[in-house]
Amino acid sequence: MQVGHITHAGKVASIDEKAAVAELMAPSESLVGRPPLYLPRSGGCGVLLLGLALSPSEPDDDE
Amino acid sequence: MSAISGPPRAVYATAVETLAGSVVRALTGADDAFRLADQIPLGGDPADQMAGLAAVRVLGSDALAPFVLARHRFSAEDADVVATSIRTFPVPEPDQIDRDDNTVLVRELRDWATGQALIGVGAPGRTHPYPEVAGPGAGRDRGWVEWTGMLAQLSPMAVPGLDSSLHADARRHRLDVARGVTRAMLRRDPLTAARLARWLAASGEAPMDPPFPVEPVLRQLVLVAKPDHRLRLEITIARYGLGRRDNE
Repeated sequence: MQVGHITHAGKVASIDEKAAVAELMAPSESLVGRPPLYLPRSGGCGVLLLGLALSPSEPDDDE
Repeated sequence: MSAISGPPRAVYATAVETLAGSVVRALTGADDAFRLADQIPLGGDPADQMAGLAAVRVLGSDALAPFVLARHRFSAEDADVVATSIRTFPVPEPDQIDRDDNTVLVRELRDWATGQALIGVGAPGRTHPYPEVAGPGAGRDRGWVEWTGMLAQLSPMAVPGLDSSLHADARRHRLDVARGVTRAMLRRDPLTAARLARWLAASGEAPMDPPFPVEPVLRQLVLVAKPDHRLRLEITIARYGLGRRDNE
């Protein structure tokens, strides 16, 4: 397949470049492997989140 | 000279944000002439082109959302960009990563979603087979925390019209997905919350006990999303899953 205007068409990324892409695809949250701050029990999450959603507030501004 | 210099991670992160912003504008009607090929700088610095290709690879099928969801016209040049990004940043070989890691599975599923998106826009030349190991119950044995972590990585699959064993699991275990959203919100991790909310939005209105409305979650996330285009993209596509396009 021809990609006329892409200079790097056909080039395979370096190890560092591929690692950078893999990192950007990785979980942002590090859900796995960190001690959880809170583990909602089954049935409890709906009530908690409804409370959060019904009283929205602007994010904290420490500036 | 590249407009942005530095280590690949930082340069690519900026490119991803830029592309995500363009996709959001295309999905919300602010940009009615979206072309993926325009995101790769014409005749510019090769490093900028590389960053553009990396951004397309990172966003995966989400980069095609304007064509799939908002009916922008998909061109052969756009298809070339996707193919080049996949060629430039191939899926790692299984022996290059930790055997217990699900990196390869996640990348293969994302590539499958990209192939399905290409089929959806009439460019079926780059299909990717659905991985056999991603059958019913895949990843469930590790518990809901790890499973929802995998789902969050696979949010590009959570779009209206796409279906697989993983989608069936997400519908069957909506409460676990809701727990993942709740956990992410409590950890102040809006990106993960939005990614998991996409799965809930895309899985229809199946009843859940207790009920877990997605729209209030998205409203809350919008409050923290303003400067973060990647987060706004997740929210925007989630709203498409809910049948809403008034994302602004």
